[in-house]
Amino acid sequence: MALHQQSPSQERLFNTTFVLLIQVPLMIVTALLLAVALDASFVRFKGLFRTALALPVSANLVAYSTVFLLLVQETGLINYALTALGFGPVPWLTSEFWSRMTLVGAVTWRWTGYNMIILLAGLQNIPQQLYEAAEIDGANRFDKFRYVTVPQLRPVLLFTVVTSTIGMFKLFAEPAIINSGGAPLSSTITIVQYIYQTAFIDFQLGYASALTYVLIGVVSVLSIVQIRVGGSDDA
Amino acid sequence: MREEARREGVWQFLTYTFVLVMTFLTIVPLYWIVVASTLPEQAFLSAGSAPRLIPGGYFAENFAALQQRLSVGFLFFDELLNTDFGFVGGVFNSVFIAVAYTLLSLVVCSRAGFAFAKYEFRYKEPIFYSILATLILPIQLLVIPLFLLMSQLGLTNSYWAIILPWLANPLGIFLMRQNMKSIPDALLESARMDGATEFQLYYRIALPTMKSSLAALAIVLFLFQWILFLFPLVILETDKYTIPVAIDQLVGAQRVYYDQIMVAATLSIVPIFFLFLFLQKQFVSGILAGSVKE
Repeated sequence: MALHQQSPSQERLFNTTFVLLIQVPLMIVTALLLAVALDASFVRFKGLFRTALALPVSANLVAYSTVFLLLVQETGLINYALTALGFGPVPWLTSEFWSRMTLVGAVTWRWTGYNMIILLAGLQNIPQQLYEAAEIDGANRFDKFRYVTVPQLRPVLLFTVVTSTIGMFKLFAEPAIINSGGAPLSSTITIVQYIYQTAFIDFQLGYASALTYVLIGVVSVLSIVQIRVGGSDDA
Repeated sequence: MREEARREGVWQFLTYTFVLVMTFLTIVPLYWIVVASTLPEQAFLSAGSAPRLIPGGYFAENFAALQQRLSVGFLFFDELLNTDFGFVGGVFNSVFIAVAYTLLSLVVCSRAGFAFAKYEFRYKEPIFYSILATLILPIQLLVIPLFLLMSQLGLTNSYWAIILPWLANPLGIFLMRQNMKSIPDALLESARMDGATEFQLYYRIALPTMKSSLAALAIVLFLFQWILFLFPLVILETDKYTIPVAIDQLVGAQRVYYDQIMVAATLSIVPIFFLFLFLQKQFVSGILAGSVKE
């Protein structure tokens, strides 16, 4: 019964949604552009680029968070570079807005290459004849991207969008790291973190279970909408 | 024609710039982990000073300290040699578990994905959406039920305990379903006409034409297992620790051994680097080309 009165859960859900609305499109578009670029025949050392870009997922979380906090702290490397370029130091961890952007940056850094790899594999399944036919019809690079690559890649794109959205709802490690770095406590706490706290720290198991059902409901509806909208008849 | 060549040049320049900038941004934090592993702890933690970006000469010392701090066994050699492998034992465990898991799960996920993409059966949609729905369950909620299940099966502290629960990986099934949609129905139909069995359709047609997607699936599955932390921590004992669990032992209540963490993290990236280099080579286009005459 506490569910509809409590604002913290709504705030957490809002945090998750806000970060999600920026992060997922940013990451998927970047990943798609990288995949297309690293599929082009003229690019050399493709293997090295692909591998380097996909490596961050494998980085150990403890090491990654240590380095990450060192990078974004008040006197860290990023602010060092920004100051050198003439921009003021950015409060990456202490301002409500920037801490969310830090979260977006951290997740995008870690998962873009992973999604690129998945899209790159999907690109290989597009029949070459479609591109040749488009060329005969006078299609330029953008036409081919718009009318061949994107529609043909739709099922795989859908996979990356759905799993990234779900991933954002489940986000746990990154916000915990950013909070430990001194972010205004609630601005980056996500819904799953809140459920975890409620269940295993406050021991309100019933309330946590209720929240989990709400979460599953929200995410299921969102996934089904994405699949219906993005998949039309064949995805 | 010269105009076109110039345009092509500009395009290639822009593409390279984009790829190089993104790669640079991706590599800097990783490079820093590697650099930190070659420095004494104070050298990279000290705030205020300009960050050190040039490797030092402390890798061997840090590595020796790491090997001494952790004692992880590796089942297969352990029974023969009864040796303590230090942190490297964790690397053995991780590689062994992830390879075994990936090979087994590749079979399950590709079979299931093929069925969902290319067959019609009753309750197909509800079953698929139920599988998809399990993606949302965070691992934190699954740990206790899984632990109970595994202990009832007598599998605590065994490699199976962290291989079995994710053999049918919803992520992998979903990925394969989406990819296998691009196999033309006409191709399968004509194979059926030629007398291929349903298993042959999967084994002789679906798998070879989906080589790129299977390589991507292998990456997804391998990484999934490689970074799994909470459940291995709960169910494994020291002799079978994987890399993430072993590294977690370096975060003590009193002291965090940052230098050793950086060495461990560097070592854990190396196998992945070679694996990715190999797997992305399997991305070949045009296997499906000309498979069906329209």
